[in-house]
Amino acid sequence: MILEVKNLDVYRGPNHILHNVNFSVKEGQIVALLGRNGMGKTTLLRSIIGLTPTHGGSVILQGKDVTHVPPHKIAALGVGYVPQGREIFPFHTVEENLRLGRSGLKDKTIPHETYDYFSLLRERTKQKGGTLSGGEQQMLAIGRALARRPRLLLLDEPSEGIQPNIVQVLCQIIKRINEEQGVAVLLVEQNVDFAFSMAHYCYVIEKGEICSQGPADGIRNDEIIRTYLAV
Amino acid sequence: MNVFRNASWKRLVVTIVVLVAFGLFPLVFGEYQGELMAKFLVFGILALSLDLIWGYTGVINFSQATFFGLGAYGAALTLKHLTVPGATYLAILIAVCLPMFLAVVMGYLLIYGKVGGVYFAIVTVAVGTIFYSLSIVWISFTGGLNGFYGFPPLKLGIPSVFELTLGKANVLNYYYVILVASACVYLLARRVIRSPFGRALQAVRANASRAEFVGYDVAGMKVIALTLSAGIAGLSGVLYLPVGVVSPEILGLLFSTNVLVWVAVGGRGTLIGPFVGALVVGYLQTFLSDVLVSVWLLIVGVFFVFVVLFWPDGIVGFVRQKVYPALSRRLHQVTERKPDSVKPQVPV
Repeated sequence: MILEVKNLDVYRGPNHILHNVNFSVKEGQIVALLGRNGMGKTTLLRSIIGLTPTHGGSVILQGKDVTHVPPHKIAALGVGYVPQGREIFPFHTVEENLRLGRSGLKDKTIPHETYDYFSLLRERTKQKGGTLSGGEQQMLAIGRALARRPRLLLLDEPSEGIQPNIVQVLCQIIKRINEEQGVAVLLVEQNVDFAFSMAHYCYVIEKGEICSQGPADGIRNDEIIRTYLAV
Repeated sequence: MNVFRNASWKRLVVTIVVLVAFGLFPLVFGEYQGELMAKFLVFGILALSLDLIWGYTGVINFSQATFFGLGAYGAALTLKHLTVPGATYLAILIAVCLPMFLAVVMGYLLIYGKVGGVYFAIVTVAVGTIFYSLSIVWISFTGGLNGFYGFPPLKLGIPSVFELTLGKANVLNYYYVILVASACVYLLARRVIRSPFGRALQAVRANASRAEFVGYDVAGMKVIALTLSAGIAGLSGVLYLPVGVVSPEILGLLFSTNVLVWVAVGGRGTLIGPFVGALVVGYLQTFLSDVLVSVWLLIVGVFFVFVVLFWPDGIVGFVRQKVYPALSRRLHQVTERKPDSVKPQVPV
């Protein structure tokens, strides 16, 4: 088990965002967390990486309780976080963004497989991150998260705002990374097709609570999707 | 052959020209101008120290002058009370270490105590006020509002073998020492900024929590940056001894504001901008206070507002963004051979 979330409660001010959330991600597994807007998916990822404080329960990374550990230490433990909106550093070049991913490590060499996965970035190494297209920025954000060769990748709506053909490419890349490097992926998505095209296991979150879970093939059942994911 | 194409060639030429110009300056324009320029270079170093923490790390400090003043007072007090050969070196050490110590304490309490943004800024104002008041009140130690006088000058070199005195009368001595120090500080700062640590500092400035989840200990880095900034400010403080008066003003809020103005006018986050700002504002103030005795402060204020409104990246930012591209285009047009134009056939 690379990640276990147990009885997690998170408040933002008076609002109870996450209620007693329980889920887990196995080594090398791709887990999708599905749900509509505002159901708490982003809050959950932020709690795991330590950006959002929790008010009950625990987050356990490879057997270690990291509930109150600061974000930079959780990153050092092998978690790569790709937030909604990419959040690359716009005034740093592509190369600098990738090197920044090697935080805390003496060796700032970008892993050789990075440009293999993200060939689009190969020609743009000296370009400022802010001048890239949405899809390129998404690749850069994932590349940066992978620079430390993490064991777990947290992806928050990677397909949002990206043109469909690039979304396809992203899907292939994530599957490749998972298969070739055994990196576990926790994917938060509203785009159910994107999620189902790669997930092994799914959780569905509704109003801050896990209301359904199961192997991806099972969850594809229309009734469940219609109830919880339809707009 | 288009020599201007090669950027590093161009940069080297400019650097040499600038260094030679500064080197010849006091010889050409005389000792009074040399004294003035030396003072502005010291201010440039101080401004650079603020640029490191404000321009590159994104942490504002309203009492950068406190680090400067601690350096100046620390060195002056050492020189007065420790009349041994080589006291200068101890004075320099104290001038650099005393502000660094304050920075570590401030940084630790504030940054690890998660006091951020506006609150941090207010606390820096408070710290500045405390030291300003101390320097006024502790008359027996600091000389109070009259200033601190009667200390022997800085003496570089090896005692009883070769000594370079940096007294108020030795303009050429201290001018060249300050010039060399300015160049060294600039090169050191540039080295830091271009290092992985420097790149990470700039990431912190862009967005602290983003840098955090990428894996950087943002709090620790801010403390390091603040400490480095304090050390450089302290160095500028000891270099101030030959060119200025050690008095409470140099610890004051008004002087700290001056430092902010130099960085803002010159260009935040450019390293060379602080020097440009210190020189431009310094000369503007000197010139205007002679010519327009009653309104010079108003004009400086208006100039500052103008820069902030129309040149938010300061003078250096404006030159880089607007002047350089326009200049390159002109040079291109002048030096490139135009292709023979072929008249297109227009069908009747």
